[in-house]
Amino acid sequence: MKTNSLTAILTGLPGRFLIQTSLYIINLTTFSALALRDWYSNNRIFNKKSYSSMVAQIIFTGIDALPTITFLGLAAGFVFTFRLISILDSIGAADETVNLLVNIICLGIGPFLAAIILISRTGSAIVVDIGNMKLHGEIEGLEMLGININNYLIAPRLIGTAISQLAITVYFTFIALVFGITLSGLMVSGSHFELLYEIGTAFTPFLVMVFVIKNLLFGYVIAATSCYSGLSIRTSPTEVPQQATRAIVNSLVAVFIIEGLLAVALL
Amino acid sequence: MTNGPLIQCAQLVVDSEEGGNAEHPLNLQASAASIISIIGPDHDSKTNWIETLGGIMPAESGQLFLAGKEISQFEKDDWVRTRTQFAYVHAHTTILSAANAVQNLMLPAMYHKTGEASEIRAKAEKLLEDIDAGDNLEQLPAHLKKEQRYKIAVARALMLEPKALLLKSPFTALELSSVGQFKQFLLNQVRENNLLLILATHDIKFALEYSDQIIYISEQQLLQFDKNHRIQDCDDPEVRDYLSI
Repeated sequence: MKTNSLTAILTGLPGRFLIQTSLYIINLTTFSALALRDWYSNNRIFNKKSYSSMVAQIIFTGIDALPTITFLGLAAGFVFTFRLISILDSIGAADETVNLLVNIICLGIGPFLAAIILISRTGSAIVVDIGNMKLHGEIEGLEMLGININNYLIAPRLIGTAISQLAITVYFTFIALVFGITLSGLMVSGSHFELLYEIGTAFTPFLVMVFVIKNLLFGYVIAATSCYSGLSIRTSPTEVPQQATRAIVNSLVAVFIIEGLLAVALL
Repeated sequence: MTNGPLIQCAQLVVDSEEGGNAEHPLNLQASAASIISIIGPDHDSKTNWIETLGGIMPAESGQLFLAGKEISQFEKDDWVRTRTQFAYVHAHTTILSAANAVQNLMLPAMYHKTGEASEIRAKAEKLLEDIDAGDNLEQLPAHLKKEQRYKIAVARALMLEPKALLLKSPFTALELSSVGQFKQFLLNQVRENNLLLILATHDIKFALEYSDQIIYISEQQLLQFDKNHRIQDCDDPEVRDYLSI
């Protein structure tokens, strides 16, 4: 009897996990799509309050994060760019340097690190912000005034975070590349300065498109996950940290999955 | 737009699961520039009725017309319009914690694009002055008194110039010294702006003195009174006991 119930539990676990994950993905997709639909059907463009809400999100996510991004860009320039150039030089594969820098720094590490910064900084802030608004009845108060929450709170965060992710990745990647190459030019060989020009020309329209889509997708998914978790908070303040943790974990998993899927698609 | 009653209901029965008296249907016509008080010993019933009349809670059965349209026929846009025309505020309505008083008032008007920012700001400042919201209004709500936050919530609801204002427990968040001034503010709104005021209140004195219609609700019964059929003349022992007469 005990063996049967243990077997049932063990075989049931993957099934329950699959069902819960599938439902979560469906709910999240529907939720974010409805938010964008409401925004699009109500305004086409933002009204003043929704627009200022989006600008506030960009300022918080993008501009306020600049010191952190700068520091991490410099660190990545040293840890990844400089070392990559040095290693490729030492094994005689300098011809591949530009190709690898574009693929690893610009399309790989840059968006990924920017996404992690966004998840830890903006994602958790969105959950706490929306969660506390929900908990204290502020959202209900807005709805009582005929204010569409999707239009006023959710869509600006989705769009603002997506734009910010793209912007901070451009900034991060630029610093990581320029600093790493400059360091390499100064410490290893002056010829490495030419890499700056070569990387600029290596960016084909297709790569630019992949770069933009990937970053917008990262930002959108991070914001959607965080908003969804924030609105999932119901009655207790203890739900706020729980949902913040949930949003961080789910966003990380989503970013890994998108990263993997895009890597496979671009093979 | 309708020139008829703003709120009209026929054989309306509230949702019994939400508490309150579900056995007795309500037939009501509520016009602009009038006051309706919902009184009685059962708090849940009063809440249930005022929220149902405002189109916030679904009714169990019967018909409810808001601004001339039956709510079962409402499209999405009708709901948005209803929420701007039938404002509902209770004693614990929360205002935005990240915005000061003027910003809180400006938000719904800016969102619904009722005018230019400068006009909306002037209107917000005037309303805050009229409602006597007090000092330090540039502070965030967390630094204000409960009474100030409540008055800001009421003023915010009035920013959209609603046709009806539904207030649950309208005087409980106020200090005793300012209740009189607040009542006068509400009466001015009814007179000057043709507002339909519906209150779910414990304030029997206000209800008796100013109401055009009174709805008495208890677990046993639902009774309706108006100026021709006065609650003071009612023989029901429960009502007389409640009124202490």
